[in-house]
Amino acid sequence: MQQEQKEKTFIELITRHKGIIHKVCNVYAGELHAQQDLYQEIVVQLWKNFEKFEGRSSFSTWMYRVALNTAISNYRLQKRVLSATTITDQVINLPDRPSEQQEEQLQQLYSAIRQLSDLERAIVLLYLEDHSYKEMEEILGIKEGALRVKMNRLKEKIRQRLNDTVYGT
Amino acid sequence: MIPCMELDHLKSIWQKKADAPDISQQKLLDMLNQPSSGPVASMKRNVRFEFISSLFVYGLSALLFFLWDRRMYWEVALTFVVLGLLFSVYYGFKMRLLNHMQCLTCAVKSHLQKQLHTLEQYVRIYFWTATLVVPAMLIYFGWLGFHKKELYGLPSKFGSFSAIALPYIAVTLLITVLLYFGNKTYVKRMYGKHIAHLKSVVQEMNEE
Repeated sequence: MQQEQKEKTFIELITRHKGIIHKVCNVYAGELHAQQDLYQEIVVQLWKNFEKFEGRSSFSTWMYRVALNTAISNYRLQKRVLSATTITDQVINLPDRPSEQQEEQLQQLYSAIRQLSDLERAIVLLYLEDHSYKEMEEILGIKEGALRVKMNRLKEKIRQRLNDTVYGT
Repeated sequence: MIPCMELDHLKSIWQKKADAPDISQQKLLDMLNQPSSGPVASMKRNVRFEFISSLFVYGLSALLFFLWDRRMYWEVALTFVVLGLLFSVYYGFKMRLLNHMQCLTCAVKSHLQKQLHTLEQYVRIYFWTATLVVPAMLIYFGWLGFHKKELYGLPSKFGSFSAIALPYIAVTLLITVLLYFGNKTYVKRMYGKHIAHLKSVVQEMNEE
């Protein structure tokens, strides 16, 4: 009964924060199959470590730590990213409707992020998710000042990569 | 219309559009019972398999020598028992390292540092054990044959240093050198990329 209750609580929390796993998988694994494998591995690791969640940080912060740690140390799964579609492979065809245009931009952003290093991907992901630098420090273990410097460089790097794709420069 | 490709502009699109697809509760429940497919979990599975295999091989060898002629081969049988025990300690130590290799709930930097440090330790232990165990056994059995040649019915020239011992030492040295380079290549192929990957992330994290 206690186990059932624990499972129920876990599933509820995971469902509430499912976006975290989904985004980490999208950023760290390119192909659908690799994403599914990574998704399952993250869920398994979250469940295995669920007892260690003491509530000192928010559940989402804890979840980001486990998900990013799993994704970065799961080198075998990441290798498959190499064969994923890269930003330069894509045919740029921006549609007229704003929603479709946004979808296209989002896909280009994902592709640009996948070209970054593992650490850079984590920083950009947390930035896009609107985490403060303090929270990013808590998740990544890197000092706030260093994160700001890295983030400024990353903004420029991504802007250049996206512009190269869109304008073909 | 020319799209704005600034990250801060894309951030709002990301937050609006990057929704996760629904996943059924049953599917999530099924996932909870699945074994981990991560590298540490598969290394643990390998260690368990090697442990059981070595217990079987050394145990069976000890038993066979003991049953064959216990007066003559009890030392050989005992050697296999000792080897089995030593390998159990070795696998226990490897398992302990694997159990301490991950801290998934820690901050990413400390998790990766821990994993890198423990993995390097694990690889070092594996490398030296795999390189030295065969020469050590050859030296021991050579020594046993040299001292018990009459008992084992070995030719008398087995006592001659230049006729037997010198070539035996030369072959043992050659095997050791081959094992050294063979294991070095194997370890590099098995763990080299993963260690290099961890090192590069940790190094990047330490850069200001």
